[in-house]
Amino acid sequence: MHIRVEQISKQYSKKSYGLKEVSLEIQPGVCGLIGRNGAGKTTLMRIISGILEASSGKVYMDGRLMDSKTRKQLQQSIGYLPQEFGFYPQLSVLEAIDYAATLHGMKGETKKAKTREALEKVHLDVQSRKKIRELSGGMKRRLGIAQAIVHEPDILIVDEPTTGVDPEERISIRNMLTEYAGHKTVILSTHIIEDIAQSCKQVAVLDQGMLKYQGTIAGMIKAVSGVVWECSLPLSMDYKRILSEYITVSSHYMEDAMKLRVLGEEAPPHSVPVAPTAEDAYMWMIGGLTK
Amino acid sequence: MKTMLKVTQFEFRYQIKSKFFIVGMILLFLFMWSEFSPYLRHYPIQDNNDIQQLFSKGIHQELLRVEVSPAETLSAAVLHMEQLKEGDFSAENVQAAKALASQIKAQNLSLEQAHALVEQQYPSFVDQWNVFIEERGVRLGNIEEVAPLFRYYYERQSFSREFALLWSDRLQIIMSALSIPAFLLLFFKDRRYHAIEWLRAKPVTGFQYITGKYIGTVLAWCLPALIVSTAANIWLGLKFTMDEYAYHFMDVFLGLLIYVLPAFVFSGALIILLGFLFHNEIAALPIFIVYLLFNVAASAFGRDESHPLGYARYMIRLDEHSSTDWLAYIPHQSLVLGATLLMMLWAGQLWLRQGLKGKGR
Repeated sequence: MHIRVEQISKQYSKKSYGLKEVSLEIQPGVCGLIGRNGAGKTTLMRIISGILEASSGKVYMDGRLMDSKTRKQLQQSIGYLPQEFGFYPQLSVLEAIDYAATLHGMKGETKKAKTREALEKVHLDVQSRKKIRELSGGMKRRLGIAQAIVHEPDILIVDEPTTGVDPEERISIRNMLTEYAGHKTVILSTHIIEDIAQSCKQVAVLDQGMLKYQGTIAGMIKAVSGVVWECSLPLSMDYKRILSEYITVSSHYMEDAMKLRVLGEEAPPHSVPVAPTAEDAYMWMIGGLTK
Repeated sequence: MKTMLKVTQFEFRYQIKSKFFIVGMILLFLFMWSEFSPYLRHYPIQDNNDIQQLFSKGIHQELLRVEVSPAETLSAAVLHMEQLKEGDFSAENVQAAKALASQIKAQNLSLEQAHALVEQQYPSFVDQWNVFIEERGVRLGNIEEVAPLFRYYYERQSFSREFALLWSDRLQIIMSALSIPAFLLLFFKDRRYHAIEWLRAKPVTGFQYITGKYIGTVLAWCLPALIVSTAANIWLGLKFTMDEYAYHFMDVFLGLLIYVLPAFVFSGALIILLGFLFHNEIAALPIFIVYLLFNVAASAFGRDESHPLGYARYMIRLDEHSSTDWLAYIPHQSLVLGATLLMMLWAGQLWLRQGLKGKGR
């Protein structure tokens, strides 16, 4: 399913914006949304999933405008996993997914089959009788994905699904989403650049409610070629000046030098140009760390 | 509609497994048993033990007492006066009582003569004398004496109707109180367990979700009340029918339908709406408790029928207002049900508008 976001703004108060005139085209495949905390990722996802109304602007799904009349109908094609997911702890995994399927109007054998299928996809079929309160953080996330995909939506929206889970679980969740994508649309928000680089065809960078970039990862990396430098500074040198003048991606002490990876249009002293990564590109687009 | 029914089904299953529900049902059972065990165990009267038990519980004492002859009354009063000890009354009264008792015995007076004697010679003792005579003018009847009175009374007034009103009254009180654990946390738990956001992304309208959960809860909590009522109804109905009394089995069910159900559904809707209005269910609790006390307390607003809120007073409590014309209640209860529906519609709107963490926008 193709999603078109047109001039979406979300204003919370006179001076506080969640989003400012964001326009975006999302094609089938995995689309990564990145940005720091408060950049507007969650707000955008909530608007696309129909649980939050935009102050202005429009969202189209395969050309159909989402409004109060079509919202519930379009939500039938959307699966959404919020950042904080939970359900009644005394319910079993199976009961929770069964309920989610019920809310999508599924019944009988179809519901049973789809529920089983969703649990298999997220590798929770063995734990289907377990109570929610007995699940680990990672398992709960997978349960969240299962409730979002049980009705096989054309659009799957997942908000920071890998936050707070161990690396193994993170890779597993990432793979699940990539597998699910196929011909469907998956919108994945995260601030783990590696997740985006590994799984997304498209990427959108948000900062302070505004869209900074939309395109492919390769395009994003290409956009910062020639601005990434690695420098090895003698410890006697005043490296603080460089830290303040350039966007620092990483720094670490060596035995006799300070090694920095910085972003800037001009080469810093004792530096060599290096090939950019997705992380460099992201840092360049958001203008470095918040001071 | 189908989605709403599915939500109802889910909530029903969830409720009957919850701890609050199990504790609530134990309380319901204990309360109803404590209120009605004398009826269930000793109605209709079969022996002297039934009479004593009913009398000790204060049930229809007027039917259980029989008048005694003037001679028996006097003899009991004399015996009582002879046995008085200092401390029971003032020393002067005890002395007067003992002197009066020996005088009555010595002169072998009748009750009428004794009365004249008290008025002439013991004017300050007249009031106490009257109390003695009144108290001893009746005694607890035995089965041969009480059974005909009992039958006569219940041939004129249907026991099933009397029982249904009393049963509905008590059930309304306990069910209205139980609506607190049933409804107070109904939507609070969505917030507590971070379920609001993903539930809102499902293709379910606020009205479908709110009403579905609400009906599921109503059904779950009303089912045990219906079972207990049916059991009590059948038990008493069989006993009365076998003893050849008229008994209308429908009376209890009508009572449930006309009185208990509207009181419970209204209470539930009120709690839910207040919870959404305050963005916090706990804040709804004190308001609901005031409402409950206002309804339950017999002396609410000094029994002033002209008070503007007087109409709402009998939403729960019936004691003072039990009518033999049940149909007269239907317009009032229809208003209650209409108000309930409006509150649910409103709550559905508020659910959609509440913040995703459960707070207002």
